[in-house]
Amino acid sequence: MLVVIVILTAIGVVCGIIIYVVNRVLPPEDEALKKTEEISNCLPGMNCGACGYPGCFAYAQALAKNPELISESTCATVLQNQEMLEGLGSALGIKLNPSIGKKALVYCTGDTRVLGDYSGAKSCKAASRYVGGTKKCPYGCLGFGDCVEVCPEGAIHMDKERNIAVIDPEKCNGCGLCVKECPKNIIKLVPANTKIAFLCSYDSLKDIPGREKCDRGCIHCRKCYKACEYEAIVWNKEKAIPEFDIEKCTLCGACVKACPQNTLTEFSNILRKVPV
Amino acid sequence: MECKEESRSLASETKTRKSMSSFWKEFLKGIVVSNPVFILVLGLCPTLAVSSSLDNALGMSAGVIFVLLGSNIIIALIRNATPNLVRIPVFIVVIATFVTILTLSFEAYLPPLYESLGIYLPLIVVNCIILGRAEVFASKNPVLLSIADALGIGLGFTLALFIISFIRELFGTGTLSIFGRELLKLPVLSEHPLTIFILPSGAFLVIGFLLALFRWTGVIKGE
Repeated sequence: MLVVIVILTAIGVVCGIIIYVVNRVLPPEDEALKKTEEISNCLPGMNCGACGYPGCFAYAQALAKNPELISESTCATVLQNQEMLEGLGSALGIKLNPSIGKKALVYCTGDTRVLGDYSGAKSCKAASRYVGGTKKCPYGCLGFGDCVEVCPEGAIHMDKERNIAVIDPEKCNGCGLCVKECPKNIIKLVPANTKIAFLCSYDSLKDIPGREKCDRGCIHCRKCYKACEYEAIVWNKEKAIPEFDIEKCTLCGACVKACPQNTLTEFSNILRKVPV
Repeated sequence: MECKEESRSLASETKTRKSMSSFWKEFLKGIVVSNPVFILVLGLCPTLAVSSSLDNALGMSAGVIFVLLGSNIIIALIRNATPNLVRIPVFIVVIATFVTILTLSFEAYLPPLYESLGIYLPLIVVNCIILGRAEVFASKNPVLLSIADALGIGLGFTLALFIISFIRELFGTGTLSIFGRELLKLPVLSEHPLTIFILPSGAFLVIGFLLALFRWTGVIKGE
């Protein structure tokens, strides 16, 4: 019996030594993996998946390949934490500031008219499945608050008066869960340093809401485009909507004043939603 | 004196010739007559799992040949010192050593293959082809024959994986490519591939039909 134990142990030890030798002969961990680990150490490590990757390590791997990715899919938790942000910036070799983050914005003023009485399930998804929505504008916020429930930060509340979801930019961490939840696809992520909010989300020239459907929808009058002195507004001809250049915008407010429909609002005024 | 020497050299010559012929016999046996997948029907788990593309199949085969060769040599070398009572643990320890070496080298030199083979690489440890050859052959035969057996069985495994993955990749994707180079592209199939061939159920179907075909044509003889 003793012989058996000794032989088996000896074989095991010899095999262990062989593996050790082989491991020493093989090239050491390559730079890419080291960098990935360094990046991974700067991430929260709670694998929430909000960045769109299966976990923090997968996100770190993607970042190691392409640091530019951080502006497309950002880790919301890192942005809230100055220390982590600086660590990640030095690991990636680029300067980061909190404004690379995204904020969710409801692209609707909520003033579209109601089709008729709806007494079905109080859920945006159910309503949009059933009759394609309860509003005249096909791009209108239905106002049943599916997005309110998914928000982990409690940043969304329903404006009961106007029957529309309002997202607090201060609380929003840009995780994008509400974007996926909205059956009308009218919640979009915008850069956190956005200055002017365009609260209408029609997709093509064919079905512009127009005055008969919505009191505050864009009527593509181009007044905002003409009002801007800093060339910060570019007119998208295909969709007939204004597009904003954050860098050039001075927040002078000329376009907001010029907008006859009040579709444009200063981003910081979102919570108030003041119709003049 | 001369005569004696002559006869001795003659004897050694016949001995080597004999051993050479048995070497070839053992080697060729593994490829068709006792093909590990089609005839012994061993190691079906990795066969089903990694035969979805030619790259994976060839990488897996190379790994299995390496581990099989290494473990067969070592087990044949220590076959007289191995107590019968603990022979299976000894086999496993030896096989695990080679699998660890293989895994480490794949990770270092072929990371894409390492990633696509995934869990099936470390699972070679419990691959029944390797354990089977250790138990049936290497623990009872000298080193040279064990090498022949390992190479033959390994090539047989490669052949089987090649046939299966060839069919699966061709019909499942409509294209054939080895290590990033496209060899063949079928006109209609590449646009509307039969995805079932890539799925696990496709592996079962392909192996089943191949076995049936081989029996029918008499390549495999029923008992």
